[in-house]
Amino acid sequence: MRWRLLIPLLLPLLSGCPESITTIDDGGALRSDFDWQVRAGIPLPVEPIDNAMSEAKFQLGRHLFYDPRLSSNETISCSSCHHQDKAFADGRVAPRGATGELHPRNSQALVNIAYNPTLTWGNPSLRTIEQQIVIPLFGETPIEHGISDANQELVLNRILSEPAYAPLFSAAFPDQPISYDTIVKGLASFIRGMTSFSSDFDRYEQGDGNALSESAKNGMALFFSEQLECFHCHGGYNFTDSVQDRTMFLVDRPFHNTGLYNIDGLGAYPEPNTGVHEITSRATDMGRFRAPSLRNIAVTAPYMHDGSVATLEDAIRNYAAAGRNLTAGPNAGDGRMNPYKDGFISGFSITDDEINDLIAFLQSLTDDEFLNSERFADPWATP
Amino acid sequence: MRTIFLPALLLTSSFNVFAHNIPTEVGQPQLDVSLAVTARTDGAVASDEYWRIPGVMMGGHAWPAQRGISMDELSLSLSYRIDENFFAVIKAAQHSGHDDGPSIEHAWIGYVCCDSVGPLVIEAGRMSAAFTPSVSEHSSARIFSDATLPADAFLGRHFHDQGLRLWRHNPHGISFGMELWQGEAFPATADDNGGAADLFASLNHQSGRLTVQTGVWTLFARATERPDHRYSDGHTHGGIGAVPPPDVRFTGDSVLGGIHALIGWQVRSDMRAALRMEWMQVEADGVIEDITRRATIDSVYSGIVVQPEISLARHSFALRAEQLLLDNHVTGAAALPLAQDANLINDHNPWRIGLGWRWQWRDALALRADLTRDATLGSAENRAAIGLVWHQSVTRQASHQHNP
Repeated sequence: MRWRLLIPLLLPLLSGCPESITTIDDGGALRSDFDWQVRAGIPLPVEPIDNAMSEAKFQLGRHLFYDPRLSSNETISCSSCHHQDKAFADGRVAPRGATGELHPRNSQALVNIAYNPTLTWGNPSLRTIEQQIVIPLFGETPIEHGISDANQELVLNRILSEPAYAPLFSAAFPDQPISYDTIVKGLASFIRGMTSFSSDFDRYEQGDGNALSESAKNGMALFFSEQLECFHCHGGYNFTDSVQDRTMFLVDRPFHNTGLYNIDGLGAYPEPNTGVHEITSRATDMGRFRAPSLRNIAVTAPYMHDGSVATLEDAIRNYAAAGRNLTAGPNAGDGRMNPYKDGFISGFSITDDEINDLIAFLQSLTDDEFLNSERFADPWATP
Repeated sequence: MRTIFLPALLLTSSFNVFAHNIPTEVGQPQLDVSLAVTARTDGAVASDEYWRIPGVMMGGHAWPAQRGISMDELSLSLSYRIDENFFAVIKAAQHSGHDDGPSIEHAWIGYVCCDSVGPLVIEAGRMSAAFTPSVSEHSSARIFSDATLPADAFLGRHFHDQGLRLWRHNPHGISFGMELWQGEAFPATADDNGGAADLFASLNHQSGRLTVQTGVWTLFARATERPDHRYSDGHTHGGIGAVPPPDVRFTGDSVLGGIHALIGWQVRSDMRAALRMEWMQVEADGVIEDITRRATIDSVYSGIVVQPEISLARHSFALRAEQLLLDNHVTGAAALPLAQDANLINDHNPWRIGLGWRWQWRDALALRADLTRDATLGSAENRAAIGLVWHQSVTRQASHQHNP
């Protein structure tokens, strides 16, 4: 303090000097009527203009999400393939729809979906949750909920006849009739509101140096190293390079071929799971899928778009080998030689201990609060 | 009277070596070597941290003072008067903080008309700017081992660039001129939209015991996606551990202006009192952005240095006080995260105060020490430094050194 007294002595011009200041005008980007439950430092997601978030919509969507009456034969709900204890994945290689048809793809975890600039595994044109929800409800290849022209009125009447829904819809969409439009918007609001930023890693980032084990810290260093390159596709606050939020003026929608298959030696992936290629038919889009968020990744096995990798260790070893070489079976081929493989899948050497460290770090991304929160749980369940 | 002043002036100006000089003797090369080595009890930041003053986007060559022994400067300068009108200067130097080794700081050719040092001078090539002595002086030329705070924060410490200088040179009166720069020097960038230009005027005056060197200048700099070159390696890894700070870049215009003065009073034959001052202001408007986010920024900064000093025989003592005033207004949806990443969140005036001593033991060799109270990063920290300065003109010839 005595030092500072010298300044006005030397600098009489500064003795009345105002303090420096940085003012921020974000135009309301940090304001929302909805409690997003994201920690400090995480920007808010984008809300669609025609379906702004509200707690009433979130709660309506939560009831619809867990309601099997929203399927043709009342056998499945959204939650049938999206289990909370598995971060809303389902633990199976591939799920089955209401009619028993097998889905060709692994059920994705529903974690921080609000930050996804594209939905599903490999569709660059599918950009809103509202658009995506129509597919499992009404899609025919494969049939999931099985709602069709023939039964849609029946299914809607089931919803109308449930007394609990009238006040939920009324609160969420005042003066609007109960319709598939409001059903979809309610479901989208629930899924959009599923945010997960309370893992041990988040606590570590917020200054709790003991939140991570030494092994996890070693794994973190490996994860963010140029040696392993993991962070290039799984970086940022949501651990994916496919992310959008309110602060962004440029949204990238990247997809990557990770060298899982090469069944014809020319880079082919097994039909119908060819990634972005399914949409564009361009050869260069063969096998390109969106890098999923790694938040809660430890509880969402099996992995990859088709659930063909059983464990995190297997996934790491595939990346270490610069791709997967399948030597037998209908999908045999050397994915390491896939000509469309992403440049970051270049392989690395890693010891067993380092793999364990890396897995410890990935486990630190598990958000137990998210997996057990009543806020995301089945509202129909009897306590 | 002259016999009183000259020895003292030689003493007090012996460490006042300016980067700009015009060799005057045709065919006689002049070689100057400078070395400054300093040992510090502490650095401006820890060795695994980055020196980023909150509230201002820094860059250029503003490396932090380092704990332990560091070579603040090693330079080799060769000046040559080619003929009656033309001269050439080349200089290689290395400064602390650089990982790239020595670099060519100066390589320029000058044309003088119509006397040996003017009044008209045209210079072109890679050179230091002349608009303020702060950006061209070197560690070996100061009482203090650290550069001034405003020069570090607003001008990246040194201003070397490829450019053109046209000026009217009057060593005993008013000089003025203009400089055009390619834009390699902070705060500009060198690209199709980048570059910088400045205007300057200075007065050298002596009357009895009083000497006055003062100047006024303005610099316009344009930058496109300007990173912090000190710590930018092309990509970032996301704020974990000792990884580079977020790569937030500035695009826009900076208008700087300043005044500087050195007022000296010859108290007696071996004693001289002086007051150095510099004030500069920056107005920067543009956008800050990273790969996916952008926000507009309006900044108004000012900085001041006041340094009273006294020289007694071969000893010089100085007290230096410096302060910055940093105001930013950031607008846009990404304003907060970008301001945080760019380290612009700040509510205090960075300041620094120091006591310095320099003993010119031999004409070419000096010992210096300083104590610094540094509050540029918020909390105030103390550090002490002691070092050796060697400045030798290996081949001496007449030259005119000018304080623009």
